[in-house]
Amino acid sequence: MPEPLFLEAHRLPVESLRKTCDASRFSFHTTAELQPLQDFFGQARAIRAVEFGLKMPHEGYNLFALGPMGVGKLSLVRHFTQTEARQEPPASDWVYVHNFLEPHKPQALGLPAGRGAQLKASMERLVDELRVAIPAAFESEDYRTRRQIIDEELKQKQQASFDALQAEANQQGIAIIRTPMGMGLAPVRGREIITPEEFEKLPEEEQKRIQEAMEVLHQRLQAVLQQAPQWESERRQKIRELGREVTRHAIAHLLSGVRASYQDLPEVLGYLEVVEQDLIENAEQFLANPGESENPLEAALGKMLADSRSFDRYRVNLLVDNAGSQGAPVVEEDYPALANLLGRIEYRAQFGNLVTDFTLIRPGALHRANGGYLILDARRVLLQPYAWEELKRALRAKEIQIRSVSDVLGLSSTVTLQPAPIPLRVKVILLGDRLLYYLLSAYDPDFLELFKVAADFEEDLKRTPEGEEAYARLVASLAQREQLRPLDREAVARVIEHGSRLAADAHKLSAALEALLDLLREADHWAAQAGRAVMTAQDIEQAVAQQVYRASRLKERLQEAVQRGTLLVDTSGAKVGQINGLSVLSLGGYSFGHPTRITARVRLGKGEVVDIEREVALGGPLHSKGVLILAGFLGERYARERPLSLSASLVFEQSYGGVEGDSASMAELCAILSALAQVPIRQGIAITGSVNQHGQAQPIGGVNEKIEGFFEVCRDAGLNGEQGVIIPRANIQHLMLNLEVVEAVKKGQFHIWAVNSVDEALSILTGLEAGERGADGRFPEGSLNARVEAQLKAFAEQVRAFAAPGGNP
Amino acid sequence: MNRIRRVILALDVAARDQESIAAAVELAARLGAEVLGLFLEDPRLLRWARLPVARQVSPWGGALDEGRLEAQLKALAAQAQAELEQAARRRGVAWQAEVLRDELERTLSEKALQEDLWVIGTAGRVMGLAVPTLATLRLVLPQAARWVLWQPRGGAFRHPMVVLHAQASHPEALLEAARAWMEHPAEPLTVVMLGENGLGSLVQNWQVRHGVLVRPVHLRTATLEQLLEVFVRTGCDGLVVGADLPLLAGEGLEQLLARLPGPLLMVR
Repeated sequence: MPEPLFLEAHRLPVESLRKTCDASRFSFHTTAELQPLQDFFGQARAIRAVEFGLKMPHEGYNLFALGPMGVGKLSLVRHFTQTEARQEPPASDWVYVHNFLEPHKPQALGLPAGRGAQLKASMERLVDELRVAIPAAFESEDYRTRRQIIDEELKQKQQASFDALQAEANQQGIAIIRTPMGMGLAPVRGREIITPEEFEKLPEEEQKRIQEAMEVLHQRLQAVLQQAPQWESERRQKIRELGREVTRHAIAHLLSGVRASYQDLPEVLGYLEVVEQDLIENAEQFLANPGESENPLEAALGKMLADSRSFDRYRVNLLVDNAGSQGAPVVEEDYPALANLLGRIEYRAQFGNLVTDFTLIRPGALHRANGGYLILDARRVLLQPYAWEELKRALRAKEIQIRSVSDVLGLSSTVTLQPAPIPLRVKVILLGDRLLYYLLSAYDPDFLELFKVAADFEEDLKRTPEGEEAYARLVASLAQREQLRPLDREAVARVIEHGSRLAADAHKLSAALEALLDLLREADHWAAQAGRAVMTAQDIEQAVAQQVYRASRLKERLQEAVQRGTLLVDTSGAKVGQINGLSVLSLGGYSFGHPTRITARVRLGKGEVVDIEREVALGGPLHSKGVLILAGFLGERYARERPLSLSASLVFEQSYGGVEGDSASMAELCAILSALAQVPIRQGIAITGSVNQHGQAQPIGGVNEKIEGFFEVCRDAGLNGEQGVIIPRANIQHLMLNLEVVEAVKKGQFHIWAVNSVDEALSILTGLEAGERGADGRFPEGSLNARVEAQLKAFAEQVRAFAAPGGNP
Repeated sequence: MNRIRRVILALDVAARDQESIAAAVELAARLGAEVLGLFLEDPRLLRWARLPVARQVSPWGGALDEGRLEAQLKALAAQAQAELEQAARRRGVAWQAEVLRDELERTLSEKALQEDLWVIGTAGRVMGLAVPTLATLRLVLPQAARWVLWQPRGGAFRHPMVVLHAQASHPEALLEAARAWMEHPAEPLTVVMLGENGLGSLVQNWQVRHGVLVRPVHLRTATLEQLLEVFVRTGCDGLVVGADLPLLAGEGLEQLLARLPGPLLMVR
């Protein structure tokens, strides 16, 4: 049995196992009496960074809000961005219009907020009016008369030429006749063409005269006919001119009505100028009636085009409408795919083909946020193909160029639209975890240039009396915001204690607002189930217990395996070279501790410690490092003057998965030393902590889960008052054990010991004094270290005997 | 007019007479009749081609012989048929087409039935271009036809002017024909009465019988110029005359056709 002295010296008092929150120090009865927290408690550094970044007007001062999930990055960024945006003027509207010179390059126009929709409506109204006004102008008496005059002029001109020729021909007894392919000249007598027989009978002189006359007339007829196309061309030109004049007149007052509203916008006036020219040149589109085509397919197509497409080029595609905006835009894009960031060009199926035009250009988040702020999740941006590269390109170029993935890859070779780029002035705020920020900083040379401001969020807060007060107000704010029941002060105290547990530190409070909110929502539910108007400590405890219960199926299966003897863990008795180590399993957001049997075997060797986990590639690098440190410790302490002729093997028994971390290194060292000294270790005690080459105990993570895990195994096996856990002394500050463990300790059924070194741990585990070297350089007789040293010395002697010529011990 | 079962369209080398084709089809659709396109090959053209001095001015060259001319005429007839078919299909009108060559006057007279409406656009104007000579007109003008519509303008006319004279054999037939063409029966029908006679009472009786409002115009003696002046002044767009109108005698018909700014419906 161990000496009580060792146990008492290192046993921790109950008070140090859980830093409770005294509810009586709060002045309120329920959180309904508390003023909501206006600022973001504990995030002063992030707030100052965000405020600075938002106000910096220079290029590259985009923000990256970094910190773990659930600490309120988005809420904080959204709050400050919206506050800043409200003080700024609304951003411009942006529209795409047809480019009449280069139709495949739609033109972008920027207008003051609200004027884009106005322009769109004006142009739609204009087209409607033109559809009436232009046909009316062309059907007017005036137009028809003037056109008739042009036609008549041509006819008269042609007629006059023919009449003159005809008269001259008639005088010479020759007629002009129409032939299937043109005109002909025929000698006539009376009113009939001379027959070939009659012609033969004519005197030779007469025949010659006719022939000569016909030759001359033939030349002149040819000249007249050759002139005809030119006259026709002149006629068409005149009709075109007339059409232009009529159109100009018909549309003048309509366009001037539109122009009047945009006198302050030269770009729009320029566009309207081009529209006017196009209307004048293409007025016939307002007159055509394609439904008359004989081919039914053509007729249907023509009608469809006439109905829906003909006038599209005068339409306005309102890309960004900031009408009614109170301040600059703040846009959050939840799905930052390339097309959702930069916009896209849609296509419509038309008779088996995909066609597009500027009316099918759709805006992206950058368009909507232009002139304001864009909030994005960094991880999602990085996961979307080419989204990150194109976002950076847009920020660098300070313009939005719509590009699809196939454009980016250079796969697209079909003719498509190339909308004019839109100037970009936006501040981008990325949200992400720290690892992502540091990876981008290290590997993306553009990143720090474009995202100069890092807003680093705290994941926990100091648990001081003031901190607890502020936390209470935070709890009150969240409850009010979520319209939950108020909490009484005992409930608030439990929430604060849970906050410390989440922070895994008795002197800190977790800043994970999402987890806190979940707890409050669930406690509210249990309060509702119990019919309470106020959340009590009982509701908080039930919420925590239910969270644990829902997640602890696997933990219970492991404990059951121990109970049934499938997993071999002893919680009583003593064994040489065998110890209970503690590990933490994190699955699905829930962590729990569990004991693992670690065994050590020693024999004559060359001074190495064989880590079986490492040999079979089940151990991680940190675990391997911990094991190698043991060899360093053994050599330094016990084999300064002789070779360390030891071969030790270590194994996590019944471990079938990977092992990582060095938190078991103190347990492993104790097991080796036990094996060397042949001193049994008490199996009712588990140990956690890492150890350095000097044998000092170092703190580890997950101390609460580990203690609770072993406690539960002992509880199930039966608490005998001798069980407990040894932890590094530096971990005392992290203790926030659950009430069941605290209660058991209070009753003396379970113990927590804190140690500074492996010697202290061994004393507790074996009941033997570890012993320190005396002035003679020897460990006290009978001490654990003396036994270890003696064993190692024996090994060394045996090695020397083996090494002697013909040696055999 | 309501007994018309066939609209016969006369076509010749001026086969690209789309106005006539459209008018014939339109009329047939309106009357529920079928269209017969007759492509008339003037035998004198072929004779002319045999003349040693015959020459043609054409974008396709001036060379000419009888065989080549025949081929051109065939092509033209086929083209005319295709255009007629296209127009008739569009309006859902039944149609036929024939090519007539020899003894045109006799063949035409044989083909012409009382119930036919003849439509003659630019056909028959082979000679003298716009102004048809009587001799050529005879080639396309069937003597037996009861109704002949000259120089149609696409659709039917809507405001006819009827010319009656004392010797008119069927004055009421003229009035009936004009009434059938009117767009709005309630509008007044312009009736020109030539000479001193009892036409006034005839027209009055007809007016009472049919409830048609008549705008009478009395002319003691009428020249072609006077008639045309009344036509323009009254705003009419089609002239309805009897074939026995004295003004049409001699070269009167061709002069009227040359100067009339609208279609002419001739009724026998």
